[in-house]
Amino acid sequence: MIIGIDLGTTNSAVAIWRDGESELVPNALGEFLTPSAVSIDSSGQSWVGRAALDRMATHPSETVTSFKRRMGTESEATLGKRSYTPEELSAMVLRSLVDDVEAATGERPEGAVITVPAYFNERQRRATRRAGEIAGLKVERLINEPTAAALAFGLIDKEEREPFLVFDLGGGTFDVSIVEMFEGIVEVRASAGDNRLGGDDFDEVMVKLAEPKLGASDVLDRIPSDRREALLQLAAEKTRCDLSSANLATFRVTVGDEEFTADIDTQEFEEAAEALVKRLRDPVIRSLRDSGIDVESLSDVVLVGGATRMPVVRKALTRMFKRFPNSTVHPDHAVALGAAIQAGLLSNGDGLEEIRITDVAPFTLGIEIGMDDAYGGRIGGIFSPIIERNTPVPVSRMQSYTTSEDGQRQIHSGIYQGEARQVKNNVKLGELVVPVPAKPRGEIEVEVRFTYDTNGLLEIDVSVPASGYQKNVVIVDEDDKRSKKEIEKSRAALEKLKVHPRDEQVNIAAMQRAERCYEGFTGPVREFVGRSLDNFKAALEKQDPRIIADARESLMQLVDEIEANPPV
Amino acid sequence: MSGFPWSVLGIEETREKSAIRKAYSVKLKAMNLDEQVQDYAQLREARDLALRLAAQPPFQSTSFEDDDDDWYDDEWDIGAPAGIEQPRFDPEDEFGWEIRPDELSREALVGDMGDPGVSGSELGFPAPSAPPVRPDGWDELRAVLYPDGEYSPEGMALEEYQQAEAALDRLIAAAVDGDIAFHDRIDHALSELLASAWPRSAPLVERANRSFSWLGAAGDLDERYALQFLNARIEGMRFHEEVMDAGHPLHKAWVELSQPGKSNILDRLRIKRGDIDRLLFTVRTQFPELEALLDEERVASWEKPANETVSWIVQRLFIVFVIAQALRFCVFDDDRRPDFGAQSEASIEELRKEGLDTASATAFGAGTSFADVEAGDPEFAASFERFLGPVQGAALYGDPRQFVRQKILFARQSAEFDMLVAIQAQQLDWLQAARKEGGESCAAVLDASFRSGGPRMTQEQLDAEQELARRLLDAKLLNVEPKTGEFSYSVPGWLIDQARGSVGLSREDFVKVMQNPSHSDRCRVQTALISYMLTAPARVPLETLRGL
Repeated sequence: MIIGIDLGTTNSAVAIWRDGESELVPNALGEFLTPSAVSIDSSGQSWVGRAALDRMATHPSETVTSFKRRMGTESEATLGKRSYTPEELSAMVLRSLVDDVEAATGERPEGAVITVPAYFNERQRRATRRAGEIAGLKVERLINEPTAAALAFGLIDKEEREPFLVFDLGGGTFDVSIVEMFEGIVEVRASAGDNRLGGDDFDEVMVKLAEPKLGASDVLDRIPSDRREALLQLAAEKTRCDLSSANLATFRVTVGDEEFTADIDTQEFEEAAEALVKRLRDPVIRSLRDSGIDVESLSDVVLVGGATRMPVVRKALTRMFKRFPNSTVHPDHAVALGAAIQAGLLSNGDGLEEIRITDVAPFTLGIEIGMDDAYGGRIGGIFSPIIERNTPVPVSRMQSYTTSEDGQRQIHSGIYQGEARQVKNNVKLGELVVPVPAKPRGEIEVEVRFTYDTNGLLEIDVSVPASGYQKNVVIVDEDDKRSKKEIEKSRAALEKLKVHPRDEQVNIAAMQRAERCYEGFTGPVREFVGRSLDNFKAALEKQDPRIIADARESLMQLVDEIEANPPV
Repeated sequence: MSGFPWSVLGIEETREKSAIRKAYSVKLKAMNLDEQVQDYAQLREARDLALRLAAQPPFQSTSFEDDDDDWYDDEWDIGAPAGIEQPRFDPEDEFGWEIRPDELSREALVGDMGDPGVSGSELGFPAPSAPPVRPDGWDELRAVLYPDGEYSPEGMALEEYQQAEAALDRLIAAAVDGDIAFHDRIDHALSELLASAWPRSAPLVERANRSFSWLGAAGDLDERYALQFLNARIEGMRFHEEVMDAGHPLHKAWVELSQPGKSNILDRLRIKRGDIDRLLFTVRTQFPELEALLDEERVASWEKPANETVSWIVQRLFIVFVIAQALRFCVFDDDRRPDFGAQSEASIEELRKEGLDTASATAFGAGTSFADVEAGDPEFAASFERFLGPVQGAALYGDPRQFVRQKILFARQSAEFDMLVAIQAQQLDWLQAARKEGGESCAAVLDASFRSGGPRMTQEQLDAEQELARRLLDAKLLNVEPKTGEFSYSVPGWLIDQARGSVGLSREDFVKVMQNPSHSDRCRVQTALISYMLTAPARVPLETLRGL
């Protein structure tokens, strides 16, 4: 079985193709969204999802979120006794999703389609692939999130669609794609984005706005920084969500026995977020321009990603497009549903007529060239594009270069991806070393052919006609040099972590949530929550499923109530 | 079934969009994309062309009102894959103001701009029959930047500045309120206006940058020319501000070099030579306009001992020239637009067709009609028509030859070897003819502006030129947009040596001339370089063939 996975910054989801339909699979708590959060303590006990997210407030140094933003980088998080790469943390989320599918279908899926932001670069894509392998999955394909969302959108009524725009603002990444559908073809015309912009950034703005108003700087300064950040971030996220349905929200932080609050109204938040909202504009303009489509001829603007719920974003969108965006697809579910459709296509699932998806290369690909300038310095690091961004893939293009020195024996260049004229501002994908016969400068020609396939695999053919030299390079990222062995090692390390049995997970999550609530309040409320928590723990001892379920339900009801109407 | 694109799609020629899509879908589904990369590329090309042909209205039905809106299509079309769904709109529903960034025409910037009727309905749509109004603030800003409608190198007086600032704020507010296309157009128009009015516009640039985040695009491959220009200025202004601060590591060097007169031995002991070199290098490579703030004599006195190294380096290097292209202004004058008021639609239509045909014949040779041009390259034809403006009979308001000559030079960016050689030979012809007419004429060829129409050519030369134009038209190379801004190319050492020999300049002087687009010897040097290059074009890198 092949499953479709939306591996998100804030939440992840999994779906399967079954009985001619794409269907989300719930996790152990019965929810379709699993927070992309991992918590590991020093004994090697691990939590994934909601329970881990709740541990963020109580055990910030053992908990990590938003690791997708660090995919493709070296940055590791130390949890408990070991540090974990973003791939490993993602693998833990993937594994928990796979467990959910197994529990729901009785079958262990072996392959997966995983979605990535369209604007993810090669490195980030490769890291995502590795995460899948660490989780023991065969990654059948990576597809772009807006493309997946478009598939889900398109299959709602299976109608032909003139070009529409998918606006995908997630927790940490932002994508815009322009897609068209006709005759069973899903054609992505252009994609643009910002892989460092998402709901998290709005939280940060919220923290900056609220922190000075709390009047708690002394108290906050006294607590460890990771705890302080976790407290503020959680409060910010909550406030931001509250502002979606009201014009005024309270930013609330509890430290020890003291509670601090700050009122934030819509207008001041919008002003503070103005710089972020401005950044939404550029990718929209770029995708329209690259696809040659005029804003008025877009048939729809489809919203995807949790952050598109924010009124500040919707307002900006309505202003940008002078129309109301389309919210037919569920902003949090569409990507996973689309991934499952792709999975269904790959395994020739029934109920699917043949659909062909054609995509574009989201970034310009090229090599580094150098030149000497007239002042005797060397202008190095100039980017020479070979495949322009938003070219339909697969594509194959060739460029010729010449030697720049007399008697040059070797050409040494880097392979880059990006939109900057200088390579230092682009992403390096690999190196190119070509031996050439020694001749006066400019006399030796080197032909470089880039071939970019539908899986986003870049192949490079180099030939030197003068010497008959030919070489084929499949781009291997530095990180990719890590052998299979290392992936095995990561997998083994994750296997050793203790995971709560599936049937206990719902209780574990309830306990974490109640504990977070306990931490979040003071005075009588705290006492009350504490008492209910003790009752629940006592119920757990009894090992009677019915008693446990009752106690859990009443505990959750209490927490729901307190959190929905925080006592002032 | 007739030729491309129909043969690739496997259908008869049709105007049915759905039939084209269907054929494309059938062919695509039968392909294994990763194994048939070239076939796929060809299929897409065929599909795009077929859809474009299908979307093209028959010539007769083209009315002037429709054409007038084409600038808008074009703006979105830059560098885009052939469009499937060309934007269609009711002229009445469209904003009536014009900005033509693609032509970098000052007239388009300071000329008549109508406006977006943002004040139309509640959502900001223009009311269907609202008369065109300019965006709030635009006229006033333009009036301050172009006093009496003329370019002025003078700075603004305080009062003028306050007026301009207020106008700019209103314009920014209008952009923020408008939809994304409108915002984008104000963004473009404003950057062009500020760039074209530089340096008078200097105090406004930072403010505009804050609203439109111009600096965010600095260094991008597709940073548009006006932004490249403004961003370089912004960075220059920032650098100047920083270096004037006593804490800046190069502050002392800056103060030293801005003093008048030669440096003396004491100065040389006081100031580190390395700092002077670093400052000059920074200024020259990054902020060339700041050199004007330094004292020429003082700089020269510091530079002397370095000459030897420079010449040594020049000998062994592949030399690269970075050339900032001057702003190009086309000779399109709105004020000369004829008044259509009194004429009937039909006669306008006829006169217009006649005018377009005359223009086509002038540019591509007797017997070429505008319909032929359209058949050759619809995209070029559209921009040609736009350039010509409201033509009427044989009275042309834009010089068709000038436009095509520009386009021939722009074609270098996309042309391949054979065509490049032909274009360079053509450029050589122009340069040689222009040299007889003097520096002004030559400069007009060098900056591809062909001001005053370009050099006079003999009939024989004109025939050859028209033939090249037709070849480029058929190869769809005449619709290349000018690559603007700073670009660099290298010239191989052997070529420099040969050309240098023939003009009798030292290497050092030769390089100086190459770096200064307005040098009086530039024409001579360029002519020599091109003629030697054409003796062995295959030895020259393609980028040099494109750049020279």
